[in-house]
Amino acid sequence: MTRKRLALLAVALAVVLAPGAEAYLKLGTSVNGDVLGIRWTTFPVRYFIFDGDDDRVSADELRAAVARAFTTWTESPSARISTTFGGFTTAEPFDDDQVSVIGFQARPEMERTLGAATFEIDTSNGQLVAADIFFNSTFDWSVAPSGESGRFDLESVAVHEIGHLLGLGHSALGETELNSSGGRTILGKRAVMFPIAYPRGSIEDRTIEADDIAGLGEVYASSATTRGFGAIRGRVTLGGEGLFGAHVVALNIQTGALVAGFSLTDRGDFVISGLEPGLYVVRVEPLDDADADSFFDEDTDVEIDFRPGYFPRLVGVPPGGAGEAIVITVAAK
Amino acid sequence: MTRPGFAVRAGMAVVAAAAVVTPAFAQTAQAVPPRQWEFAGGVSFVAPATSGTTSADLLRPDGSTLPLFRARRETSSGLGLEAHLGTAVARRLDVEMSGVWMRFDARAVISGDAEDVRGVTLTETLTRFSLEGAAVWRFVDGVRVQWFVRGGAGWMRELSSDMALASDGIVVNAGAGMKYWPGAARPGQGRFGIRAEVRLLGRRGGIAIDDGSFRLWPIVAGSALMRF
Amino acid sequence: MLRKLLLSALVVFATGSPLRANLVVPTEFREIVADATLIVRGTVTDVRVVRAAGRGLDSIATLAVQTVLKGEADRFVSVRVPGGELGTRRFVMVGAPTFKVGQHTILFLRRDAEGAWRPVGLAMGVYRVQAERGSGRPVVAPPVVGGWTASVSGPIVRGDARRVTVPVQDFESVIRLIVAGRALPRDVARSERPVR
Repeated sequence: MTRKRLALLAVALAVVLAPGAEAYLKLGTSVNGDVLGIRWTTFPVRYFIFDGDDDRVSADELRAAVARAFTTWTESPSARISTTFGGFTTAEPFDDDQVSVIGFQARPEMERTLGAATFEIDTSNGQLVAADIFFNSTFDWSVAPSGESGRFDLESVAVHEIGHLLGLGHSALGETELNSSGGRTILGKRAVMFPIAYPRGSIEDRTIEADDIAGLGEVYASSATTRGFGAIRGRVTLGGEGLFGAHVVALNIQTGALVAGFSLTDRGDFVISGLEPGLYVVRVEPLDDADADSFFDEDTDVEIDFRPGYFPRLVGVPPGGAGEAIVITVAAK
Repeated sequence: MTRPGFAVRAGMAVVAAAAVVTPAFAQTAQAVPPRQWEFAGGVSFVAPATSGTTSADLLRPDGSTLPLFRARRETSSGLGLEAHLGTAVARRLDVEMSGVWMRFDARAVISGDAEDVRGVTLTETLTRFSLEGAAVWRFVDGVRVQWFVRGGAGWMRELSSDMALASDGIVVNAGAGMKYWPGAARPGQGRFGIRAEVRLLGRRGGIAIDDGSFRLWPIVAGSALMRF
Repeated sequence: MLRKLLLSALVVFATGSPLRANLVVPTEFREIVADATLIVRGTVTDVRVVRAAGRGLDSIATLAVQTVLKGEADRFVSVRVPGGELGTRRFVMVGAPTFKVGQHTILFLRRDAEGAWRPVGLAMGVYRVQAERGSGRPVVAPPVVGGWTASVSGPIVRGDARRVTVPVQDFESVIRLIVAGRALPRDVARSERPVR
């Protein structure tokens, strides 16, 4: 494709997608009518560890597990970020102290939440003031190197929550099942940012996957880190109309890397970036097995009344750009 | 997008230089005959191939894999146009430069979809340009019929259908064929014939349509020949 | 230059989605129903923010109750969730539901240690009533319920034809059956859906 055509394409991309369109993996907040992405602009990000023990995990062990989890993200090739441990503190997570604190907290009223990230934002300028993470001490935790049966792996949950702290939203790259004895379990997933945890004893969430890496790269994109990566862009439609909330999955046919995104406008626009150059299978499915509020704003209506399908062509991803926009037409259930 | 590697360029330069230099070695006590060139233009056909399966795997809690779907990688048969320009550098040895344009489909045949989506084959039409140098050894060098073996290497570029994705690489090939000259040779006049050959094509680099390992594609080609 | 243009184009629209994120243990819908001591449908009439000692800010939403599906409730119910905005400070717990005045919702609630009503499992206990595209009638994106919107056991298949938006009355019928401990009929009665 000639340079002129690529330039025109880029302009068209900006004009078409700018109004109201949002990326898929990033967290944002509305300030003065604008949606601003949650991201750190100053590095290293300084965090403190609450100096309170869990019944099985000391503050020191918590610090070590959190440090390993941060390293998992800072070593990602898709972004140049850094963090630093500022020390132990008696301040708990969620104290209004303008300091980022990570620690255990007993939250029995959040009986199904292993952990959560919080943000304190200055709405006068949209600046991120602080971010905290709590691990719910009503659950049983472990820092054993190989995991511990019957206990949730602290490092795995820390990797997930730190992903949120860095500005990532949820991924829908995962499948679950219902058990005959009642209850729901995870079958498998391919993103640490999938909102449902692996069962007790598993340590698989300590390692970030291609989808997570691509998401981090999108939050902290720079020419140095995006050089050589490309994107797939397009629309998802049903009956000629755009779909909001369709889950779009891209598979590199050579490497097997899986990266996904969502259609995030009423026109069904989506972009999946951070992709290695090559040919991709693109698959679309409804997010009808998940709590939509875990992914999207409460004001948006997620379309679920369609069947999974594939874009009929392999999609080429060039380095440093995107090919022609594709239109994926799905069928109603 | 890269230029042909240094080794490839060097090899092509050696072939070109040999075409100019080697007549000195072919000199005999008799008068040196004028250099003759052969030009061949024709079509080629590449056979379809399968190159393994990529699995869109999720990870189970124990680290084993759960496929969301599988994609079997295939390349379709393809048709191309090719041209060769060569000259003798020794009694039975020719060197030639070749250019090939070929179009074929890369395919992914979907199976094992977790949501039971069936009967899906995804395609993308790719175009390959290649420029290579080759050595041709005529092991049967008759007046009308010549049998030869050929080996060459060169640079290629592959493009997706929207030309957004382009990738360079190296092609190597080896094969055998036959040249047939139906008419008698007349001094000072061109001679026309036909050329047919089979080759095995290997590629490294280019658009990633397989698992990256070195694979061979069988090619059948036929050309019209002109010697001048 | 070209790549910067492309990169900036990608960044222009990459403005972020609102804050929804925490890590949860997987939960089946019947567990949510069982854990809730109060299930109501209503409309949010007021939201105010208070300081929660050691917990940042909380929002207290007042719901005008239209239907009680489990438990007992007055005409209004106050629901407390983490997060809110006071002055120029916004505190957000990623994954906690947020409420806006005028929002129609079905809530699965139980009291915390201090007696405040809170949604079961945070966002798991909140179901938005939305207007169906085209008809405008109130519908809900249904949860995964074995025997209703999914098989009783086995993988939950995305694109399952049983999981489409359902009229809110159908969803309430299912809740009542689960509360009563009765088996779900194979096909819960559904109104005609507009064809797209």
